[in-house]
Amino acid sequence: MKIELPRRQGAGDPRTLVLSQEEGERIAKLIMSLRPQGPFSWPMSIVHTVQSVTGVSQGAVIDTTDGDTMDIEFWGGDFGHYSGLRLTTNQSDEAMLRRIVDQVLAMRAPGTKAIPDPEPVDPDDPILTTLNRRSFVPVSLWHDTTADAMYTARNTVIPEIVNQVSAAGLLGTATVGFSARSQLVIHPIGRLAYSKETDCEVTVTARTPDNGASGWGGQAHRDWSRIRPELAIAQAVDLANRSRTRFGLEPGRRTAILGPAAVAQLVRAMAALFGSYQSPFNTGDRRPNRPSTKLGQRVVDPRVTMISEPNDPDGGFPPFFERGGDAGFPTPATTWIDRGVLKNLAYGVSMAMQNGKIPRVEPYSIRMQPAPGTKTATVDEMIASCKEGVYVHRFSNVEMVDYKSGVMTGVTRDGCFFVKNGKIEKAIKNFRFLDSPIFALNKMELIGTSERVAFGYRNYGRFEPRFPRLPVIVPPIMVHDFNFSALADAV
Amino acid sequence: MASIPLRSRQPAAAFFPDLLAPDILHSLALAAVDAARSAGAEYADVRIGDLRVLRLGIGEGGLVGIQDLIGDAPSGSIAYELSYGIRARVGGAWASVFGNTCTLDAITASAREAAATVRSLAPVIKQPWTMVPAPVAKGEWTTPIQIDPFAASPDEHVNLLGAFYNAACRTPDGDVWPNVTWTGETRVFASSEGALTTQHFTRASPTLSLTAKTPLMVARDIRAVTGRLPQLAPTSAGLEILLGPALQETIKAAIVELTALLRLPTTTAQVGRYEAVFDGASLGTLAAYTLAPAVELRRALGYDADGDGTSFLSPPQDVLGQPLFSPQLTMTADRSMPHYNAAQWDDEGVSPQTFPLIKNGAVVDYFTTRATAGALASWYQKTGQSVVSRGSAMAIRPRTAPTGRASELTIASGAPGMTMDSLVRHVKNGLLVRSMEYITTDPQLNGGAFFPDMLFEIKNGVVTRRVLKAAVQFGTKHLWKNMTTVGDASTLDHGFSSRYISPEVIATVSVRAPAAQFAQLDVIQRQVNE
Repeated sequence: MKIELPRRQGAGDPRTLVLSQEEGERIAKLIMSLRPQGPFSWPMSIVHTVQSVTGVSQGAVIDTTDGDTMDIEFWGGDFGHYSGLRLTTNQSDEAMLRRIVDQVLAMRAPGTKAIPDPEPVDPDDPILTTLNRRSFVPVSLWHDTTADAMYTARNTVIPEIVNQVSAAGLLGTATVGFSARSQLVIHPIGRLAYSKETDCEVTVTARTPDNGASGWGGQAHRDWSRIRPELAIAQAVDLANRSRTRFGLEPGRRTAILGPAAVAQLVRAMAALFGSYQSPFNTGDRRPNRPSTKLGQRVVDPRVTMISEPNDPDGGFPPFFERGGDAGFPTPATTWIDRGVLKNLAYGVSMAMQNGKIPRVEPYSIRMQPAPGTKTATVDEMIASCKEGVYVHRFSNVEMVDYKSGVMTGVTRDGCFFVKNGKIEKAIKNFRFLDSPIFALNKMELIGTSERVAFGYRNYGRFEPRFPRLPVIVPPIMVHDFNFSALADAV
Repeated sequence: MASIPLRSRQPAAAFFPDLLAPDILHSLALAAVDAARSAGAEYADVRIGDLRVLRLGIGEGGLVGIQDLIGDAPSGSIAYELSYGIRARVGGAWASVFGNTCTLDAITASAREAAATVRSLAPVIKQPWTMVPAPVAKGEWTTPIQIDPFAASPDEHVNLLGAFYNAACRTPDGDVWPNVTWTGETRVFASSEGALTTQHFTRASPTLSLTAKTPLMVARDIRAVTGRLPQLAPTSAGLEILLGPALQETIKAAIVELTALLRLPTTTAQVGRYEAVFDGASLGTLAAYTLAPAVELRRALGYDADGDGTSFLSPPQDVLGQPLFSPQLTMTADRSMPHYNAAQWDDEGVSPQTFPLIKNGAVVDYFTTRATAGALASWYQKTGQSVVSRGSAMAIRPRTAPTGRASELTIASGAPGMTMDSLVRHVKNGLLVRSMEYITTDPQLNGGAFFPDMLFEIKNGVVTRRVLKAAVQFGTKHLWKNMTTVGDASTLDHGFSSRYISPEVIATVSVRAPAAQFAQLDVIQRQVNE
């Protein structure tokens, strides 16, 4: 058996760009058939990613990186819940897979008997069977428009970026990236999950020739027809031009108007807080009569709602756990925070079973939006209502410092301005911040409408091994007393 | 659920499918180069890699089958990856196409695709760069090792790790989670200039996370502190690096020292400016996060401005030769054996050189490739050097395009006699930074912050208390300018940085550095609003 890959340029039907469910099942069936007895206890996953990433720098260098990767991961043997021998390969050839599986089986010493688990899982356990009955949220994450444009759109977008940024007397660096991805997970207790998705991003950084100022604009969507490259270019050029002369402003606690690209960096970093044992949402307190979580309590401003909807029209995500032993379990549409009140936390399958909860994957894809009935404001209206503050276009290098409080650090980037008496007075040097988004969302003055934000081709983590990153859809906000802890000389 | 012990007595090599023979890899590489040239590429090169990875470890959540042997559980993973990356160049434009189906049809189709893509985009280029010349590389090279780790069985590997575990358990409050990742790779490089090289790499990434937790820490719910064993940096080596009793004694000594530090009384960080001493691991980490990426020329030229960021050491023509840092600071790039990325040729077929990047506080070179080295031509000519690439092009996986990347660096140690004790003794009111593992920076590497778990107060030359909840903010240039004294060779240790450069591909920088004293370190409290 050979699954014929790659099928890139000239493939004809864009829907055949990535591994289909049938093709994935053929690979899985082969591996399963090679095992002499019983199913694998751990899921098997196959991820096929086709990407096209084109970068241009200063009109002088262009790099493109196109190709596809196949990742097959499975566990050799009836290993216990946390244990086992994990195998990964990028080869889908039958002979290759057969050799791999044979070797896995050989790792069992001759005559070795299985060690009984002291707490074996009862397949008739009502909790387990209840979980197994849960169905996947139907999603449509695939757009033929994106697959069609994967190798052609750059031929018009890249010259447009180079020409427009150059015409403004600036140096442009930009990325046009596409991804098509399919994923199949098969679990021995009967679950099969398959998803197929497309995504794309255009990001533009414009810098003055003396490297003294920088602006950034980005667009991201699963559907290429919704991308407006000209907006990303215009925003980058505008911000760079307005930042040509920057002043140093004393760090300290200040009113901050955070654009969507800034809010997205904070909200994206919050994902782990919904699943962490120690976080502002989960005290980890094990003493009797003390709530260990803040479920049902107001944790942020009542005008804030946060949800993860697998079929979000502006983003969405595969409706199942993608990695590890929980892979393939459904994850539902989830309201994390409703009108400021914590409604749900993320639980892996095991923890959910122990606590009578529904498993929910951590919200790496999330929508933050104003609660129904909330009066919204645009960034311009926020600036107009601000007596004195700082407008931050974007944060960068955001890192969690303390899970317990949610305190993070990072720096402003590509557009930072001093606001006085309702107007942007001047461009200012960047700041480092040291604050928690939970604190910030409790000091919110205004909130806008939400949009998907681009993140750019960088900074992948092992929990989110994909480009573009999972969709984050957020509004601009205005908060008071945001902690700008130091000046950052970076441009 | 049942568990099966991981107990094979076969050599680990038996757990991998047969590798493709080098002559097949050669044929594929040469065919790809020809296809790209025929399709209009001015220049083309190809990397094909046949990679096998074996990781075995003992720690929480490992396999239960070997508990009778060592009381804890080993776990393992095997990865097998066959992949290629093809680059084609027209004018100043490059196109890279990668894949994992290593057949003649697939790889030549990819090569033609790369050439077609670059031809369509090349007209946009306004200022084409030229590639600097390099000798045409031909030949074969194998990492010189004594004992092939893939010739040992998983049982033998696990028994070895178990011995480390047992050594740690012989200390009162210690624990160790040993794991080792062994990488074997055959990588073929071919170019349209006629280069054809074959390299067989064997690399080890051993990690012995030492843990100490005193009863007082348990009572106060202070989390355990981990440290790394300096002797075990990622390296190009065979199993011999883990053999012999010395390593076990070192583990015990390291845990005893760690525990003694953790038994010190604690205090909360006070905002202020302090003198400070960094141990070698912390200084190496500081350099790995701040200086090493800053001297990557691609970054300094602004090519990554839309991604990771730029460099404060920019533009190169204004930076080179200027005294920017402490005259005590000299940093050298070194990919010779036994460094992890030791190679006879880099991923453009150039022999890596050992060369200074920072000399007595002045930047004197950058990490380049054949495509970017021309940007330093005037500096090289002014200083009487050839305009060449120094062999820093790295494709961490064959599918990733090669860039001039920092990998292994060394900071020169100071005069003999400046031991760790001596450095501490010279501090009246300051801080000692130990085993720092992570720093966050800004996108220009102009400044950063760190939040040390192992921070200690120094009063009148004596380490007195452990300092909790501290945050340190710094300006990179200012900090390195304030390095007043460098420790001697006895203080050398390794610091690291790592970051994802594409999904599931991690770039690691290793810096061997001595301890050092700094005149000023700005400390604030870590937590806010509580």
